[in-house]
Amino acid sequence: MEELIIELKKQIIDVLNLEEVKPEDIDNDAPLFGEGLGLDSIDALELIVMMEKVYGIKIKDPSAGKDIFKSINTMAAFVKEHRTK
Amino acid sequence: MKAEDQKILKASKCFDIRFSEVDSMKVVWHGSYPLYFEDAREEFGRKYKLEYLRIADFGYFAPLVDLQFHYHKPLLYGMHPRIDIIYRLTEAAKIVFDYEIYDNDSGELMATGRSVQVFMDMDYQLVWSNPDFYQEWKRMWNLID
Repeated sequence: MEELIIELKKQIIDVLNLEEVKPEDIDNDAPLFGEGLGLDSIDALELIVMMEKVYGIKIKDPSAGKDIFKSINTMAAFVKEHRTK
Repeated sequence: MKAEDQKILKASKCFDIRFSEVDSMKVVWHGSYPLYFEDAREEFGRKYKLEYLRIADFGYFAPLVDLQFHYHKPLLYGMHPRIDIIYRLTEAAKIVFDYEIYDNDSGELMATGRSVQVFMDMDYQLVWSNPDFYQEWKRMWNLID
């Protein structure tokens, strides 16, 4: 799980070009959107592409997406359970 | 699909500078450029069948969420500029264009820029994945398999 968490952080930094952020700067439980990491809904569009490409997970429903992208921990748990790659 | 097989979708439009677009420094005011970009998007839409009205017919709006400008040289009243608009393929549910404005007489590059649009449904909710009509549109122009 710890490995997946670090991998996810690296993926997020990469697809969103967060050049000044290091994986260890991202708190596993902090909100990704709004206050925490400060992502916005437009950033979510890139995360959706990443989830499909890297983990084979299609997220169609925005309301489900909001729960998945709540924090690194919720993302990692979802990926662990649903990944097809 | 190999990158070199990918078709570049590009449209061009020559335009006149309105007197009202020039500021007190006698150059085209920086705030006039978004309208040139918009005209270019409409030209692109007509050429490649991606008009705002067509997008709306499928049940979507395509609002701008990011606009960038780089002003290399000033446009002056009386110049004959041309704007090129180039479609940039992205996997996310976005429409991305690059823009290049040239002085048509000298061929000099005057300004460049980029715009990003997303899709909203008619309830003004952001659409997370590429709408079917948009994927179909990309296929029609051989941008994706």
